[in-house]
Amino acid sequence: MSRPPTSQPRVLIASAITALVLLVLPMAGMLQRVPWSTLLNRLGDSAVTDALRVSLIVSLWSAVLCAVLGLPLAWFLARVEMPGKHVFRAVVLLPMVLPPVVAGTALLFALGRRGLVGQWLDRWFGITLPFTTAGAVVAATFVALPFFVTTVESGLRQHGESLDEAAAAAGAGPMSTFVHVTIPSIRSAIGAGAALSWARALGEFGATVTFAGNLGGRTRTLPLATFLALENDPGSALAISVLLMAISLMVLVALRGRWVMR
Amino acid sequence: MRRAIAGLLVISAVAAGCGQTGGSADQVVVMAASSLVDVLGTIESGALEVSPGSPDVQILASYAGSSALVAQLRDGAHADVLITASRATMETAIDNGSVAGSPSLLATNRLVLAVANGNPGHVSSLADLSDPARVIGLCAPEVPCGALAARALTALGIDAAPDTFEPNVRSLANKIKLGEIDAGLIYRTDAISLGIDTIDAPELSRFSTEYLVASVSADPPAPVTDFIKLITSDPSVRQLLTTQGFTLP
Repeated sequence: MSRPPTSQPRVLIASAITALVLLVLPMAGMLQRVPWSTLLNRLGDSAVTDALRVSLIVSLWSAVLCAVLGLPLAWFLARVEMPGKHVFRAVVLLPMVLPPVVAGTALLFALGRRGLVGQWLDRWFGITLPFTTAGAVVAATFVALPFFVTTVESGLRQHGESLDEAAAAAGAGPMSTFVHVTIPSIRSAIGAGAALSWARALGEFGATVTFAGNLGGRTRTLPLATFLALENDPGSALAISVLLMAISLMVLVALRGRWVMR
Repeated sequence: MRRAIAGLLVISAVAAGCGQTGGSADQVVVMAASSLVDVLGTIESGALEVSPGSPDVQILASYAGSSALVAQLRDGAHADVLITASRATMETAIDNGSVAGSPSLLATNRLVLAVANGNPGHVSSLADLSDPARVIGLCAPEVPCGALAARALTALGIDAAPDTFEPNVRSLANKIKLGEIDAGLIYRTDAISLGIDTIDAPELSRFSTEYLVASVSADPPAPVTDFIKLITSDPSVRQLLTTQGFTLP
């Protein structure tokens, strides 16, 4: 803090503290109920380690898919001019505000065995996504993708087109410019977007349980294990929550707010 | 704009105030298992008189899974009556001191073998639940319908090969109805209310869950005892329960 606090508007400070308390209080409430003495035992339980494994597989695959699919989409939103693009962008952001259970139901209607596209996947290729690990990846990717796209789009807008144009003027083709000039210049935005979408995928619950179901070792991720443990083993549920919170917090702290482009 | 915000604040303050009137002399607050929404809804709508001679008495019902209800009650939710979908959850509420009245049996609900519309998995008996090639769903053992299913399958010597353990009976029932799951064990009432096909499995008939009702207070006021009497003995309520697939004690 460079200036003495007296020079700050007190109303703002008080409101900021209230907001902070609102965010921190539930965490504090949870932490004081955590069974610390048995924490390691509970986390070492095979049900928890299985869920951790599924969670890591699903969230990492989802982050990779977000990057592979999200980078071209972010480029498109930042660089290609077309009428009604604000509507297009709103559609991209929709999974961020949709209740995840609704997202999961929508995925069932689209990619389920009787879904719009899913019935053909099943009939032609014998592929059914519900109740599979791949299905859990699809559900996590659906909700996490907008986090990647918005972060990288804002990175692209910051970076501007001048470097790209310079590269093009020097004779580089459009694809070569994208790979050798554009991507390196927004590395940190790509990293931040991937980390954010990964964290979102890691915490995914509603869409996953609705679309991919819940089976140990296949689709039961940490959030699903937490939810079911809450029914009759709140101690374990709290232990898993602490684990999830610690992982997410580490990622967000490591990013140092880098997704907010300065 | 400022006036609009002030108006909103007044409205929300009034609404918050209204929320606290629950438990007045004329209102019976009922916490009930989700599967009773239709039966209690009929009483809530005023179609039946709760308290003979006191037409002002009304019920206000809140619905959730039984375990969630018990947790809410323990954490200080206000209610006059608790109705759970299993004996175990009612006993938890009694043991942790949130329910002082003694429970009485309202109805029972039994498991059925439910299949997707048109039975695409060609399920013909409970033994098909062990087939890994079919998409099989059960409720998670942590929730009452899953605990009951696990007990039934163990007793019948069936080693099920489920593809998913759904977090509640409704989500399992909906996925069977959507055709994403070939077969699963759900409550008879859910099969009836969602219009789901079932396969005859008489050996399941002895596996049922008990719906218990108890007053939260040991010495409840008259409207509360009147309400419990109404749902456990009134002929039209009994009729409604039977129509929805419950079995009467």
